[in-house]
Amino acid sequence: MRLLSSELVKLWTIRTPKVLLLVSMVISGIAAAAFVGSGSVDRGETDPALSLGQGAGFGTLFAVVIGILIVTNEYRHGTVMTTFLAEPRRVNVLVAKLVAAAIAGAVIAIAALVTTAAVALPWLSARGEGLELDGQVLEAIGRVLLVFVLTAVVGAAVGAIVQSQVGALVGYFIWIFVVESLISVLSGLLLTEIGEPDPISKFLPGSALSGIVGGEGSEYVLDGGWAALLALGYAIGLSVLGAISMTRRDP
Amino acid sequence: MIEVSNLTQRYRKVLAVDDLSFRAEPGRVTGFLGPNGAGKTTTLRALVGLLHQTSGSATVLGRRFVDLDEPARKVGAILEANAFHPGRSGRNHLRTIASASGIPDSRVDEVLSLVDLTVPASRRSKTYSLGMKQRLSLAGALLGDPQVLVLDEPANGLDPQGIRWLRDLLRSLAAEGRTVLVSSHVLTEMAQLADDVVIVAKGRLITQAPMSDVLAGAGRGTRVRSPERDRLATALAAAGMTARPVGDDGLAVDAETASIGELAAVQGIVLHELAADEGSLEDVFLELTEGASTPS
Repeated sequence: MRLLSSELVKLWTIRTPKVLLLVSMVISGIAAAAFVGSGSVDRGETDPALSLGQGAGFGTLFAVVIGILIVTNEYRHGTVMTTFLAEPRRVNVLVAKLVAAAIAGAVIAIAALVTTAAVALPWLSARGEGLELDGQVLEAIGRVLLVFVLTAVVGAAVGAIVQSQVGALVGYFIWIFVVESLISVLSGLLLTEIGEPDPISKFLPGSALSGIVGGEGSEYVLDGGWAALLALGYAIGLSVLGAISMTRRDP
Repeated sequence: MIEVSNLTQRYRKVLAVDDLSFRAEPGRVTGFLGPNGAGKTTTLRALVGLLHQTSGSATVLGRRFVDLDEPARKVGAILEANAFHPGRSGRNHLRTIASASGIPDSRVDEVLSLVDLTVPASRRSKTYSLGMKQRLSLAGALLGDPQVLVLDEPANGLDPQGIRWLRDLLRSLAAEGRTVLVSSHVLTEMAQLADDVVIVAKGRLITQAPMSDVLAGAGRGTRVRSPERDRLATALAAAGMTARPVGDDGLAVDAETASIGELAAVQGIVLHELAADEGSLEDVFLELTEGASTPS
């Protein structure tokens, strides 16, 4: 508990997390406006709750950055030694950081949802389409929370594995935007007919995470529930690797 | 109390600390001296459990640091002068440490005044001078009111007033019965600060002794200048005193001032200077670490 409160103090006493939170809210608002404005909701092509959830999901980029910073800021500025003086058992330190990342992820998710609702609901109701707080909406909210929390935890775990701030940020984004796309293209070329979804890429970490909010009905990502389980597996696996890296490599 | 025995730390091919053993006693300031690269920082990191592949043992209060309950309340340490997030204020930096160790925030203000760091609470640490950063590091080490202090180069970047202040503070902390281990390469400063010295070079122990003994061992001789240096040298040699030339007209003589002055008076040799050479810690240090520390 002490370590967790220390981690939260660390987060709240620097500027970057606050800036990231604000920017993620702006992005979510724009995404919500785009979804409602595009009219796909009116035409009944997509389920409004899910679409809005996907809109909020853009903010996960900020969740991963905060997760990475929670660990790598300490290595970058040498404060990790001070932290290890207070708690020499480094695994405990990492657990506190993973929980802090999860909390930060949830906070960003809630902010994104509130922004999305603030933009989308008055707009929709002005056009005579209310969005009731039914099971479907609650499920969409749950999915958004889950994807933000898991993404932030993955970020912290990657930070613990890599430790270098630049290395972790660059590595994560290269993996998500380059490596996963390459794997998907290659497996598509080699294993399937053109136009068919390939069998591998939906099991990759980035696709598993995005599957949580956008899985239903798509052949390119797993269904929500399975995606969530797989993403949870990745988060746990990476955290274990992070714990090993943090214990083995001295600051 | 700090006890290091047969500590060895190897970084790939480099042997940073080589079978090092020494003790630091409570109630005393122990100076940990050595040239750059002697293994001081490595030793101090091993002492507070930051190195995981070390052989030998390093204990604080009889236990390994990592086995202590509430380590922050027993051992305070400075390991790096500038280990702060630049965008966080000094006060908030201390709050992060305090909350991790279950120390109340009120203690943060106490240590800030203890180290005389009076800056606006909101000022970010990146705007601090090196001296202020050292004070902030020291404040962090003192947060838990620890019995043992492990300080790596705490005087670095302090101005002369700051160094005097640090010396007084560390001496008073030791006088309260705490164990204070301070590393430094500012040797002259150590002469006035440390009760005991541990001198290392190339990862090995050169000597551990009370400071007074080390200073006493600093070849206490006499410095003499004369316009008739050669005549004086001959006379000294005839009287059985060894002398070696220093500068243009000086001699360093292995004898008391009185006997040299009397000899010069008898011989009618003019002297321009006759002074006892106290011998500096620096000389002893260079002498002791000579050979052990070839530049690499």
